[in-house]
Amino acid sequence: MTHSTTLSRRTFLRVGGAFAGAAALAACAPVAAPADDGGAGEAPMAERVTIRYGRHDPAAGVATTLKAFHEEFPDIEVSVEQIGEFHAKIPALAAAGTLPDVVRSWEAMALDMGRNNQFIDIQPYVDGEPGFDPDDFYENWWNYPVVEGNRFGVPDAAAPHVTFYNADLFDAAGVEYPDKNSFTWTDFEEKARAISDPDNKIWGSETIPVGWHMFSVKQTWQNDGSFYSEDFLESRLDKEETIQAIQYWADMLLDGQVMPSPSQIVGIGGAGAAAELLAAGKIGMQRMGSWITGSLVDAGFRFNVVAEPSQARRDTITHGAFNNISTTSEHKDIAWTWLNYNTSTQGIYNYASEANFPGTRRSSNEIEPFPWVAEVDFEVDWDVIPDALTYGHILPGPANEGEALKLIGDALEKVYSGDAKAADIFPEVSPKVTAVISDI
Amino acid sequence: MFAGNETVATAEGLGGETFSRPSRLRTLLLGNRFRSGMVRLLLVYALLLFAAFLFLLPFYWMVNTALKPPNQVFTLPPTWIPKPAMWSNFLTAFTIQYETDPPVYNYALNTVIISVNGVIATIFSSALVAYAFARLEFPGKNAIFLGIVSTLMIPFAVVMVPQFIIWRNLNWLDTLWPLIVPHWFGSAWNIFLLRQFFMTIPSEYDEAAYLDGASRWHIFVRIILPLSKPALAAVAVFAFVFFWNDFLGPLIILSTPENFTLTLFLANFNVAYRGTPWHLYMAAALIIILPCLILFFFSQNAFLKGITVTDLKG
Amino acid sequence: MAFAVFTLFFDNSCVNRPGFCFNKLWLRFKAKKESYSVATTGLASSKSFWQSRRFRDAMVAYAFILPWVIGFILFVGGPIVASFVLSFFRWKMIAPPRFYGLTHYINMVTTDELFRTSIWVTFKFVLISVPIGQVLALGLALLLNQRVLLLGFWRSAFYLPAVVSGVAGSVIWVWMYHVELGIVNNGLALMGLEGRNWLFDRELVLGSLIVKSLWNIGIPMVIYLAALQGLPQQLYEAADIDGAGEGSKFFSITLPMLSPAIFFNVVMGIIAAVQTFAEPYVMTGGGPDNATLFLGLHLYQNAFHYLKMGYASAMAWIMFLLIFGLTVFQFGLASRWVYYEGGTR
Repeated sequence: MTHSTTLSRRTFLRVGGAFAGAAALAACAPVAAPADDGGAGEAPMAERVTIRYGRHDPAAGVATTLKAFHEEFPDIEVSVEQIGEFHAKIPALAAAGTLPDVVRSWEAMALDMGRNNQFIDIQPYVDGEPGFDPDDFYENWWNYPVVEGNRFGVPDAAAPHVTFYNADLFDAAGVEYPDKNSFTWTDFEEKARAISDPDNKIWGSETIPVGWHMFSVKQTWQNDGSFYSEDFLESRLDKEETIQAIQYWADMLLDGQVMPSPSQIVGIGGAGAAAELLAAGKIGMQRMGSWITGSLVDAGFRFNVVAEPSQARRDTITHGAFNNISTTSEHKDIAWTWLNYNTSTQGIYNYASEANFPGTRRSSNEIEPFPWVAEVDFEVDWDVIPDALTYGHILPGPANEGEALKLIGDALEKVYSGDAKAADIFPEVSPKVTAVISDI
Repeated sequence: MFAGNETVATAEGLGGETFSRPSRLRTLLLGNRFRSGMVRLLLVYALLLFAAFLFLLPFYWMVNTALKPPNQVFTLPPTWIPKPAMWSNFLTAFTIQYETDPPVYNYALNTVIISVNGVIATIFSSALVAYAFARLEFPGKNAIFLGIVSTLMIPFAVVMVPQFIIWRNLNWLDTLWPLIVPHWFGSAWNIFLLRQFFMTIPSEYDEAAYLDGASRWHIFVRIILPLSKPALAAVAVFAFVFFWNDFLGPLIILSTPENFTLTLFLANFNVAYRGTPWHLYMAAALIIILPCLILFFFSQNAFLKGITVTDLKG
Repeated sequence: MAFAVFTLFFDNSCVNRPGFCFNKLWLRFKAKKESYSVATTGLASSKSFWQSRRFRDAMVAYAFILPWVIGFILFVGGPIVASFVLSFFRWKMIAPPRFYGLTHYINMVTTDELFRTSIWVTFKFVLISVPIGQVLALGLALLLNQRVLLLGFWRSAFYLPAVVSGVAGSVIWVWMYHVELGIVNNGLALMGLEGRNWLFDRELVLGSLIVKSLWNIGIPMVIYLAALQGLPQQLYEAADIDGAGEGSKFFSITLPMLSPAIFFNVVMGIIAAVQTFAEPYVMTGGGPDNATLFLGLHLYQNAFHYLKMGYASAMAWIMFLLIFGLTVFQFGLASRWVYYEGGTR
């Protein structure tokens, strides 16, 4: 639906080439569009306009979309800027008033920048876009970048966390594969224990990645706990379920017969290298974002995918990004043209194919070949991956996330190394975290 | 502990030259007190050898890894000598591109720009200031000089945030300008070093030139600077090494890979190339430190004389 | 205060520091300068003040130091004041600054445990690495002063690491310390010893960084070597005549004569050590368990990861005061042990 309407509008625009850019958009764009500074009026007619698009990863991810866009809108030049040290540089650019016109930002950043008026409310653009169908997006993703009624972004693609397993190692140990319909923490632990062979450096499970503590939140969700309250204003670290969940996995880690301890693998690096352990055929199961599929294709063993193990409920992390328009953009209408194009069904599909994970639009995920499917000569339950998008939580987005994660991470490290019990340390850290995240 | 009879007794004849010229083997081996001399000599060389071994070990390990074929990097126990030596690793490390990141020589170019500018700027501006303090009398001289020297105590962190705001307001963030412009205003350490050196140059030289009608500028450029080559070499090496290795400055200011310096590239290497191909990592590190090593080797005599000058003619 | 202190340091020590400060030449120069100023006065008296050499020299001098003055105001003096002002504001960069009063300074001592940790880590590092580094640098300089063959080779070997400081050096050491593939553990294995997880064991990690820092002692070593070579030999000859042993000569001649160089190196060494940043940033990220959370790193994280620019400025001021305090403290001690040949005290 959305697809065809958008296309027809584009055709129209192409025909009316002379009216390209802002002028044409102003014609299409609605009365509701904000009549503020960067408005359509000041944009020059029929003159090539350049807008900047900032993202943390290389431009390759949007190359296909960009090419199509430039063909369709010859008068708009989108210059892609890859921004290193993203979480520090984006605020710096904001402070300098030189943010790119369109910024692709992660969960917490999108909200924080929105709260501080660095991104504009794009709801008027959405309302004014003919044929725009919000229902095409997964609800959780569509509703995420909204604070106090203001919408700060449109999601593109998102990777859910699932469990990858090395079927060959399961066979070698004579362990049954995880059950698609019921896979609990207890199942996970039993199977991992049965596969582990520490003397030969074979482990049932990947360790909990050091330095990636934002991912530990999924365990708490699976146990009905959480790091933060729904509105991200209060810490929930002192909640019974949160503490239980953390302690359960810490015990599993410290047991030494289920996962390698952090020090046993840490010399190799962070989570990036952890993915290599699975690829190297040394671990039975790894719970990780679906982006690691790529590294498994040439690994030379049979692997499969199952949902994350659950306890109180089925839950997981989905991690993705939003496209936002900066307040300081001088070409907001044109920025919206690009943003909308880039998050169209085809746009999201293009990026998703590059990144090997699903889009946040249902329609993107119906286009074949499916981005999350890798070509292998054995059966893989690929459906598990897009399915996880429908029930998983999106990574939380409290204010001052960096500082909060430092506090939480330090506490987690103590628990994971066995220096402290979650029940002792989390109630202690909780008020500090609340103080940090409520300081908006 | 090691300064003893033999050395002291014979060192007089050598004077300040010990530094650059090793003494003769004959004197050493057939000294007066032959036996204790031998023992002492053995001890000295044993200690030197041991220390040099420890100090050069990291370099060996880096070169060893840099030359390994990929399949030997992760073998246990590690191979002590790479066979065959993969010289192509250097080429790979230098031309490798991570997705759409710019190639490494792009970072090298940025670093060269910053370093070469830094050296020229530092020498020029610091020498000018140092000359004023070494040769000219003016009200407030001592107070200002002490002010300069006191700035050595100021950590970069204190000025980091406000400087960042300045660059932001000039719209210079993510450009090389903040890493180029400030160095044209003198640096305390080098001003101090050069002033000390200039003061050792007999003032008769300038005096004579002055009476011949030369301007101060002329004296500075034609007399002082040519006579100060060792000190300028020292400052040049210091400055080059500093700018080449500078990390915090570029880290704060640069954000797009096109503008990165080699140190930023090296610090991000791990992240960019997931799983760390250590042979390429070390090859890249070796390439990056090579200019500093070469510079040191070719300038070491002048350079060491510069920081430790004992004689003008040296 | 600081100025007075530095007067002591640089005027006294520079006049008299052997080798490094060109003792004899200075004295020769001073003598000449005196005769020169007599001549100058004679010259000047015959012209008007405005045309006098003195006035013109002063103008030239101001012109010569003008770049530094401008640079100081723009990049040092101004920013220092700005950072002091900023330390009383909360400024997240993405929102306008808000006045915070003394809150940052109060937080530092009350709620921010990491600040205390970082001060402690930095202190430990400085207190251990600087003395050991100086002893090692002096030891190597003494070895090199033994009229050894291939002096250039040995000197280069010890000096080279100094040109590989910062990121490249840190990267090499990460690889040296690698648990399975590093040369440290594999070397220990050859000797039948068990390796350790040098960078991920919080008991060991600071020690590992200190060892790395000892690799970079080239500059103090060279300064010691120069000072040693400038020592007046008559003193040793006199001692020989008195029949003094090697030990007593070292402690009663070499060490006192070197004390200005030691003092200089210690002061500069501490100033650098307090600011340590690249090593923890590259090698450990401050971990494990904040065991290498140096003040410089904590400050950087607050400024550029947590966007607490005001708080970071407050911490930077504390760092400044720390360096200042340590320097003043050393000047206080200096009068007790630094020997200035022919000095006033």
